[in-house]
Amino acid sequence: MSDEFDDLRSLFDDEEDEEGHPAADNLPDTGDVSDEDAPRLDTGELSGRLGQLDWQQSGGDEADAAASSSGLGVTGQLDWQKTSGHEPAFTEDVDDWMQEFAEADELAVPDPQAVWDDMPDWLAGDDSHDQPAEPDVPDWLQPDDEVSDATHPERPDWQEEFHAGAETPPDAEEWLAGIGESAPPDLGTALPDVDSDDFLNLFGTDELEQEDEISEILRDIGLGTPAEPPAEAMEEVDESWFADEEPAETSPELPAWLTEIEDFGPEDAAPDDVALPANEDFFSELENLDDLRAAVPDADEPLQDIDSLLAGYDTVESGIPDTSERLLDLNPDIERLLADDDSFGFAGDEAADDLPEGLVAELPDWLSEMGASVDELSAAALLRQGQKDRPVEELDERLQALHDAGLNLKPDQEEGVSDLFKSLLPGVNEALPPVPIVRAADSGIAGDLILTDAQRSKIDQLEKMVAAGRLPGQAAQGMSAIDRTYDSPFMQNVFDDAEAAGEEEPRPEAPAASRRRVRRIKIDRLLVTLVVAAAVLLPFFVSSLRIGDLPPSAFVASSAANRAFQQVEGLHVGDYVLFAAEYGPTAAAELDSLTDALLRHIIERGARPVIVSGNAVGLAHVNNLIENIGGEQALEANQEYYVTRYLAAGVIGTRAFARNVVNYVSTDMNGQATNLGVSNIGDFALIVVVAERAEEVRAWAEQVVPSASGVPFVAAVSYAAAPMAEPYVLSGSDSALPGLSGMLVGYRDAYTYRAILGAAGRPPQLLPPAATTPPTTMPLVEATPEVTEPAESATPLPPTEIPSATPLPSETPVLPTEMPTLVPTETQTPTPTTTETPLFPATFTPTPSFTPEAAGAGGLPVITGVINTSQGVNVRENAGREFAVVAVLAGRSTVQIIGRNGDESWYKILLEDGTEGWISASLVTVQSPASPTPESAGKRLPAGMRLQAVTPTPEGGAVVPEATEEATAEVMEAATVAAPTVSVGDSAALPVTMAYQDERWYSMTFGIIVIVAVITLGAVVNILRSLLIRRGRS
Amino acid sequence: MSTEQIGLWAGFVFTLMIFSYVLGDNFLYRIAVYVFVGLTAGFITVVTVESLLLPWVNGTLLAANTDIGTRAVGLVPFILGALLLLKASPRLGRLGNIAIAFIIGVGTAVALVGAITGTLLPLIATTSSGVRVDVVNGFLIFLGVSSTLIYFWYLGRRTPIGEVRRGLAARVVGVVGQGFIVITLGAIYAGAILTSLTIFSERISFILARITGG
Repeated sequence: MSDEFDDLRSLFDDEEDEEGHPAADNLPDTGDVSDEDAPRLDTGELSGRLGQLDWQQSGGDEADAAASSSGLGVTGQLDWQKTSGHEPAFTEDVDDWMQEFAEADELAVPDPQAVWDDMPDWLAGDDSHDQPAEPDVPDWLQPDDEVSDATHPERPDWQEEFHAGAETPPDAEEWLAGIGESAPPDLGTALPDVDSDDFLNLFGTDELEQEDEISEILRDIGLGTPAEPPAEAMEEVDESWFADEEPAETSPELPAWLTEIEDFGPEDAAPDDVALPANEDFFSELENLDDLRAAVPDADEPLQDIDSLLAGYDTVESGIPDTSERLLDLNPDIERLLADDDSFGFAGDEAADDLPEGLVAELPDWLSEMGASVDELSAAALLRQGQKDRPVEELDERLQALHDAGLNLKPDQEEGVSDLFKSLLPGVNEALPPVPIVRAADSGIAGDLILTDAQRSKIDQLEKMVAAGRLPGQAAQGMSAIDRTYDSPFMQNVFDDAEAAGEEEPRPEAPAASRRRVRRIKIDRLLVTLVVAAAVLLPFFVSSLRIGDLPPSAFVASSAANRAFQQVEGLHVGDYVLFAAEYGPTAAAELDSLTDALLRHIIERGARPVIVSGNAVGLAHVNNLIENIGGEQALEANQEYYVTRYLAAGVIGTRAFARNVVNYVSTDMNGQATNLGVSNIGDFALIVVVAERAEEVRAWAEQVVPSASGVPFVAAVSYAAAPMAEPYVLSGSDSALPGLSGMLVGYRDAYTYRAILGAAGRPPQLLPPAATTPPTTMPLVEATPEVTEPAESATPLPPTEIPSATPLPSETPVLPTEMPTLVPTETQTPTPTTTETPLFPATFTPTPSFTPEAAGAGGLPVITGVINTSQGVNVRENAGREFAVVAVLAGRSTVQIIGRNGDESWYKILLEDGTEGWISASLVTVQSPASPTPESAGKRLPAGMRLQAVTPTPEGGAVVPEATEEATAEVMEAATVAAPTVSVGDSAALPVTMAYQDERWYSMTFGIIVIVAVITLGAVVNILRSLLIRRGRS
Repeated sequence: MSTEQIGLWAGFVFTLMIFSYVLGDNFLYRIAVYVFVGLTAGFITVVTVESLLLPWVNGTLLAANTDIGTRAVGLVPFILGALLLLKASPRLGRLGNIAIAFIIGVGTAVALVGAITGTLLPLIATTSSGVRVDVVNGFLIFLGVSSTLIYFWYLGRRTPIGEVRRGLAARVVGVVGQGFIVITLGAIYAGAILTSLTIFSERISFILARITGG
């Protein structure tokens, strides 16, 4: 228990003794506290620097109401003090009838008669307020006759009932009921530490169901308590506390919440800045008036009767300027404070009227009700209303003099008058400790209010946080704490991330002073960005930074990419391919290369892509892409390709398309009829989905694939979508299951795909059925029995015919037959009979003066290859790693290819010195042969029509290449003539090269190395920093 | 200068404007983003009208020689769309919930059916067949799928102290599933980096091609 509570008990005893009342039997035992032991009132502490004395203007009951709402009442009084209507601090029977309340169960109103019997005489027997002197009420607290008898129109009902009920005891029941029904809700907020919940519930107050929230709001603004009493504590209160007669500090049963009263000391005073502390006003004014001391006779001696003191005011010479205007001006400040500060939450109707309409409408009900209740019933409201009705001129002369004297107080007149007040009311100061108050005249928030030091410090803290000026002309010093927080790198990252995501950042509105925040360039981020950018950019210019190998020129046989390639390769002329371009411009940089390669391949095969998309922009993008594929002679829309419909509504649209294909593909994106010959999803020969996200792949795999049983499904996705799309690829590995038949991922597969398409050794192309080709003089010969080729390519093609309508060059480069699948493998089983498929006609004779760029003898093209690694590679004497190394080629060097083995895992090359050798095909990127003749360039056949260029043979017979060493004989024996065909016309129309193709790959390689290094470095730095911080803390 | 050249140079300029974000949010970056977003929104609107609304209207409401039922069906999307517009009204906004409920209900049903037929069943079949085909890979697939599913198993027994805990076996297997999830997320993160790097390198090559005329 706090000392204050002891003082309060002693105060009661003192009052009894002084007033001569018989001690009540139910008063708590206060121990042996004598008058001498009772702490004396320190008037210096009580002295306040009040600018107004509203309670004086109110007078009578209004003054009591002011007292109940004052800071003193808040800090030192309990509920009964606030609701009694009289000054209860000096009553002796208060514990008695308060205990009745405490014993009441479930908010029941106590027996009125019993309560009435326990009420102090001055309260219960107060049948006439106009009696000048009640024995237990000081004269100065006697209400003014006129005021007390007058019925204020703005007085709340409960107060009116009280006045009426004071005449006869039975009316007290109504008054008490009125307490229970209309207890001012702000009382709970004014007594946060005395657990307002239970006390107010005790009175049956329903309006305070949101008491916790109110207390929280007040705590936020520095007017509440930081802790809530536990429920168990309140149970103790109901049962035992009121009966406990032991001092609090010695009572082990003291409820926890009660101990918090100590915290509710002067520093944590309740909102006495809002409701002026009338008692303190009075005391302080009494002590700080030099004139008053001069006027009071025997001021150095203790006064025995306060009336004597007040009587002395009659003699005080006035001369103080009229301050009524100032009084009237101060009240709006309170209202403005209540209205402006939303966090108070109890702005009255007037304040609510000033709020925006939308804000008022959004106020919770409890807050609106509370605001109304406060405005109608609260003591503060009554005080304000009374001020309007009771100007200073109407006050009693003594009060006017006291009021005027109070206005003339000096801030530094606290000392020197304590003795006077101690003598007046000994022990009161200790029992009801005054709140040290300061004038907050310099506050920019609550000017002309009386604030405690704690409140002042909190306001200063708030001003510091928001960087608000303390005075209108005083600017804030430096950046506020909030601004500094926003300016921190961590918050900056949050803002940047939110902005990058396109979100509106809900930054709190900062005052104008915070606009000075300077956007700093984040050095660390900029540094990392520049490093990565340099890593990506430099390989375009510096060859030494081209680290790593280029993507292979062929897919691994068992890979999903190879399955995808084979699915396209297996298309027939006239097949419809459903091509879904599910990506937008943001992913175009990565997926355009894949889309381009797939579309080229499809068109080369004579199939016709039917393009759809759930991305409207992606649809238009692919439309532009396929128009460019044809070069100058654009492909014919709705004949060679179809760009149909935009599939809206995401998954629903995809499923709707699968269920009703005709409706979607009947017209193209321009509304023109497509005349497609498909009726359902099963009519497509292949479904290709190019997606930037795995969700699109999943949508197609879930909604379309089950409806298209037996139709192969190929996905081309970005690197980011690959992991989540992989399960669908796996599901497609079993032919019995629907799913993807293959998948291409990112730039790597695009590079390989384009390399295959652009390679000299393209697999034999399908001939259009309608194409009529003249018989060729070069038969196709099985190269070697050991060569295992797919049925399609292994089957000797009939003599190729050259369309008569297409002029062919007289000398067309001859390319060897190529396995449809290039399988670079290092574990090839060597055979002594390594077969070699000739690349060149028999007339071709390599010369030592080999020049890669130069055409071969007789104008024949020279097949060249580039070592696709920066490291040196071995040239072996035969196709196999078990053979001896005859030479070492430098990385990135160019070689002339003169032959290959059966499975094309090894190329036979011719070095500049005339040496021949074998090199692994995986290390060589075959370059395109010499450009076709001008006659063939730019010629393009209709979709699906491919020219088969054959090598003219002077002799008109089979072409037998010149073999070397051991392989020569074998080649001569086994190999006759492969099927050297190449697509000339379409290759010219569908170029597959792109700018900086290799440099892009090298830049990606070097960039990923640098990124990994940066991430690793950052992780290490963070770990070290954490360790240092921990060490520093320890 | 041809239209194509203009487009290429515009792309060159806008790419540089986007790259200016390296120095922080700035006017050029904002302009490029606004232009891109504006053009995208406008284009999608046009495509939606031409590819969806007009074909629908021509096929239902304005179709010749069609029955009243078809015309009535043609009105359904517009009625639902009108109900959605009522969401702007506080009083009539609840009517818009009908359209939203329709969309959500249909979307959920479609997604659910698709997930079962297109993902779960193939995944289960692949998992089971994988065990037969390749024991090691099949076991890994089975372990990954089962442990990941168990990791997301949120049932448990409440202990006397009120704590809900899964069984020991479920927790152990769940840790394995958590490991699979970590690996998957790591792969996705690595893929995202590769995607970004690919786009970056392509843009650089594009700029260089513009500069060098390649």
